[in-house]
Amino acid sequence: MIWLAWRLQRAQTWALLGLAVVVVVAALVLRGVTLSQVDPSCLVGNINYSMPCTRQWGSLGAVMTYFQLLLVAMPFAIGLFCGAPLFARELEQGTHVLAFTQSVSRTRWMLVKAAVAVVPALLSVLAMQVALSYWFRAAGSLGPYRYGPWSEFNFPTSHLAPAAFTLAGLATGMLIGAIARKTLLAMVITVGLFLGVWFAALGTRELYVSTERVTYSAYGGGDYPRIMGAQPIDSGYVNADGATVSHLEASALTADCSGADRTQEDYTACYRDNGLVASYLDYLPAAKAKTAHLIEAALLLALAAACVAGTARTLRRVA
Amino acid sequence: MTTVVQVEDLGKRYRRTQALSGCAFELPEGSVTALVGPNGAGKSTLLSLIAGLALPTSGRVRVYGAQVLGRTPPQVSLLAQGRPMVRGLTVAETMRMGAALNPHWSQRRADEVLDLLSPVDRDKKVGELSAGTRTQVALAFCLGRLPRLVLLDEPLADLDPLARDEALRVLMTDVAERGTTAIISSHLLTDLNDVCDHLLLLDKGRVQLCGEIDDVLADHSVLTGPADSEVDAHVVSASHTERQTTMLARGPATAPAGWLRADADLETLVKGYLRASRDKR
Amino acid sequence: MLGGVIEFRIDRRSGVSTYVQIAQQVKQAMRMGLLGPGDQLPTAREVVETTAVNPNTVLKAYRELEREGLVEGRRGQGTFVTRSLATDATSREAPLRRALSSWMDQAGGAGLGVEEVDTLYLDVREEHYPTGGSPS
Repeated sequence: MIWLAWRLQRAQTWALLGLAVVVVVAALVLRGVTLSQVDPSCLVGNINYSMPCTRQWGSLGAVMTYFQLLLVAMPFAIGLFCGAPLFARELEQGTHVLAFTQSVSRTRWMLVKAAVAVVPALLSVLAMQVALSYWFRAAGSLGPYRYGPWSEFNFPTSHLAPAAFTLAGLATGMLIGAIARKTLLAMVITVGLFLGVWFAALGTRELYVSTERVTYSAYGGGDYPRIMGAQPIDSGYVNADGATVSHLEASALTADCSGADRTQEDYTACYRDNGLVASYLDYLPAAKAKTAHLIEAALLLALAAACVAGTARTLRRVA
Repeated sequence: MTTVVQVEDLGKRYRRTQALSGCAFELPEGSVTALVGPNGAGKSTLLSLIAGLALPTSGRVRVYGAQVLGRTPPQVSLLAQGRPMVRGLTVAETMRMGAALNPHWSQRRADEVLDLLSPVDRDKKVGELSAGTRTQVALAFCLGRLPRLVLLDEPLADLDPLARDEALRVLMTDVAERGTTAIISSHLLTDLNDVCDHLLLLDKGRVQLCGEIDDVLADHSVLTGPADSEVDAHVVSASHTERQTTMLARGPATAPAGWLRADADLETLVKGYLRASRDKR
Repeated sequence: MLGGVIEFRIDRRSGVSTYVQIAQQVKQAMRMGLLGPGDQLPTAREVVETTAVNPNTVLKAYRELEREGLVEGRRGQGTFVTRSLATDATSREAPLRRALSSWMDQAGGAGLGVEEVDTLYLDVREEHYPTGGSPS
């Protein structure tokens, strides 16, 4: 049965594995290029914007972003080209009757097909993830990881996210295909829906963990805190009672503080006189990204499981 | 004699249309039944309910005594309408598909069917075969499962006369050899005249007639007589000209006075019942 | 291969039911001397492989012949002819047959068509062997 499921989707599977191989090889080659082209001193420590470094760096940053976007797009592509046609094509061509009138139960047939689609999908996405991360880590402080684990492209391309998104994409596509029964229609709906899932995840993942707060002098300027890999969430002022004051309220309170020849101390004093004793920054520390990954992956897995159950239910009702 | 198919008060409703209602009949083992009726009579629906492909809205289907519930019984093979096949697979791969999906698959039987007429090239893709050969492959796929009951939904549509003959020969071989029970649907009775011993006539989702063809024929007669006279017989349907009435009637073995009696033939019988079903509404 | 002895031809338009046609053709072959005692009739499977008919119909025809005492079904082996219907009178070289043949020659010489010959033959046959006005 595994042979049959494989035979029926081998075209997509070969394309997928082929793409993964190309990306892995490209990542390894480009890693070599990165290391030979950029002086090691540029890649360590704090971000080095010195002229020689930026010249050597050249367009590597853009290339890295393209590859990262490709990995972000993989779950979409897998849902689109592997998930949606999994049952839509059979139902569209009427060949589902062949499988549905044999000795194998529909649910078992569905699980085998899904499994045969999942394994190469996960393998190729994981291979790409590992290869890209190997490359990006070599790029050190100039690479995309300088934006920290929370950035909108770093987060979905690291930890459990690629695998979880792939499972969700595949399962969503499969369910929609079984419902729509038209391959093309299913592909369109899958992309639309999965885009929704992706942005929902983007919008909610910052809520999974609690923020941390730093306070600093009311009129910030020079001593704005720099926290490696942190994701700023909210900022504003703190008054003498410890309550927060938004930027909007603050600007109303401090309308008189502006002046042509005022010094830093003058500003700070003026802010303090108006009740703003300090600035605060709420942020997500890099270390907490791991927790968010686990929660997000669990939610995506739940979505995938629901889609699989939904597909089984849908197929049971198909005549 | 063992009853293979037992249908009780069977009904199927699709969203807006009542495809079948109140169907009841039984078919004995080894019978070859012509499931006849106009397009849209409910033939495909009936077959897919017996095959467990669809679930009935009311009533029951039993195959060898076991109720069919959303799964194809192990004894049943269905050749669905349009003879669906995966076009990209070769003939050999299609047979391997049968083996993959059936623990009791007989490759020997499948090969026999593929070689029965002109042998089928196993390495050809199914999509590249002629309609007749595709039917042969579809039958091999059906019969490799070693069914006790085969359901064939319009297996002869779009086949040329030679291919029709060949398809029926393949099927009849199975009936001869293994005592397989068969239900073959067609909207053309002439296709099935010689191969069937039972008739199941369906119209508007209802069974109009069911029985062994010889019994059914013996039970009916065609009466011709003057237009204005009455006859003491159970009239199925009648047609009139100005002076003459021709009717299909149940019974009588001898002609009533003033009437001419002839044995009914299958085609007259089927037409008579279909006309009666039309006139009812 | 014994199955190759005779092949049935089913006339779909004759109105005669299939099993009767098969039984008639077996008897015909027996009369012609093509089938004699001990010969095996083609099995139902052999028949349906060459002619698309229902095997049950073939078996029904054989049962009919068995009832008439012409053939015998042997379990697991097949159906065998038990009697001879061939007489010298029907063989190719029989005087009666030759007489009929020369009569046909005369009819052909007189310009009679097939239908006229049939009408004549049936008419004369009816006089000698009345069947009670069978429909035809």
